Amino acid sequence: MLLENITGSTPVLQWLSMDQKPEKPKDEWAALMLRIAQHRDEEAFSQIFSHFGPKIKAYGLSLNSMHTSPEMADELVQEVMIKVWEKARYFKPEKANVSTWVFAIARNCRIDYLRKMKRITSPLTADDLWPVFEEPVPEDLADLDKSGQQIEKIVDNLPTEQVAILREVYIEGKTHAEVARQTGLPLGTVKSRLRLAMEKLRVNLVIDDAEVPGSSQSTQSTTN
Amino acid sequence: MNHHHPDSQWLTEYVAGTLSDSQALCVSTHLSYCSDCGAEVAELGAVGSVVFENQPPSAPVDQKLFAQIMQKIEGREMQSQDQSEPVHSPLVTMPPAIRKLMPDGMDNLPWKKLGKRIRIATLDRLDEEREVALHKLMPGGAVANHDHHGQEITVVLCGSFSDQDGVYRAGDFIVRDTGDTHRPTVNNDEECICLSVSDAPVKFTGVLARLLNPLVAYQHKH
Repeated sequence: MLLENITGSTPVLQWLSMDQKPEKPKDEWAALMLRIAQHRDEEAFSQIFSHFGPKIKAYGLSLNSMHTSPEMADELVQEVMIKVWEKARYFKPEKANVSTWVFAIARNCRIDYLRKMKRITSPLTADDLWPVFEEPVPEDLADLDKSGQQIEKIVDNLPTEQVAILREVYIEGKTHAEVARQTGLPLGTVKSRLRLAMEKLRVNLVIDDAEVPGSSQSTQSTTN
Repeated sequence: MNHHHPDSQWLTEYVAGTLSDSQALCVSTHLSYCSDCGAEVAELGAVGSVVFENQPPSAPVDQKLFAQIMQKIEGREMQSQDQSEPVHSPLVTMPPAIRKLMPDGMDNLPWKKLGKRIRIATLDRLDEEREVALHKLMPGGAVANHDHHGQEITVVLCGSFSDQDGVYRAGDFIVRDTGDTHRPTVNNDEECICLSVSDAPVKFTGVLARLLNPLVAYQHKH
């Protein structure tokens, strides 16, 4: 019955074939998650898939590892999307936005995949060590959703070398030491670029939409 | 209120998923005690998700994949109707990941006596390079002076202890590197239990050294 919609008729497929990625305001993604959680709504799920599928695939392909392959990336898309469906009711819009949640699931699935490829047997899974579905809830997270959009703006305005390091760390799965080794930068420079990026985020969040003077900081990066 | 926290490199590498499993165990254990670091981790996660969202477009995702996913989901739902979700009991005494590492309970761990006031139970290794253990420090004075070779991460699970650098309470996250020597003393009459993840065997110095080091060496062969 689940399949009829997809294989039988066209609406869902048409939806999937649209190339443009619809950008939605955050609460619309959250509303889709709610439809999945409460009504097992496949149409909502297909919208989530269309948007996040390519992100997850890119995330899989970006991993700095000998185990990275297109097959691995496709498997990652499947694993992550199945979790999104099965764990939809754990998504709490007041705690995180949908992309933060999907990012965390993708990270965990990628860790488990790597562990499997390396034939490491462990009593714990990534979900035990990086809890996504039972996150301990600090009290002051209420503002985080609000700040999500601001963070996006600020990340867009960071100097390219800071963005490059954010990418290597968060997407390519490199430790700080690996980034330093591969870029030839001293570890201290790697850490200071990340710290500067974070400080900028923090300052901007605190000031809350006020103009931040002197957003171009180019002095920190030439320490090697 | 904790006073010893993982620094921002630890938290960033945790969120990015680049820590080894046993290091991640230490950070996640600390997080179950510390809402300040929890808030920072949430913030770092939001940053990660923006970088995730802004990736350059990948090779397109094959549309057949969606059908395959739905097929798998259907199969799984038929197979296990009442897939029992893990019970998320509130933190009773120990963080869930640690409880999972001692399925028979803490009392039934293979505790080994190391001198008068230390008991050590080695847990399953999570990665090759590091040993995971619980250390139980008994009240009644200082335990043997010991040296660290390689890095050791300690997270206090209950009770508290002090050394020359300060007081450590439940949730505190302490990183010691090669060459640090300390002589912990348990505070109060309560025993203090710590999670310990270490790169290399701990070596005891001082009078007890000759007595204890063979035991530690023995310990590390298992």
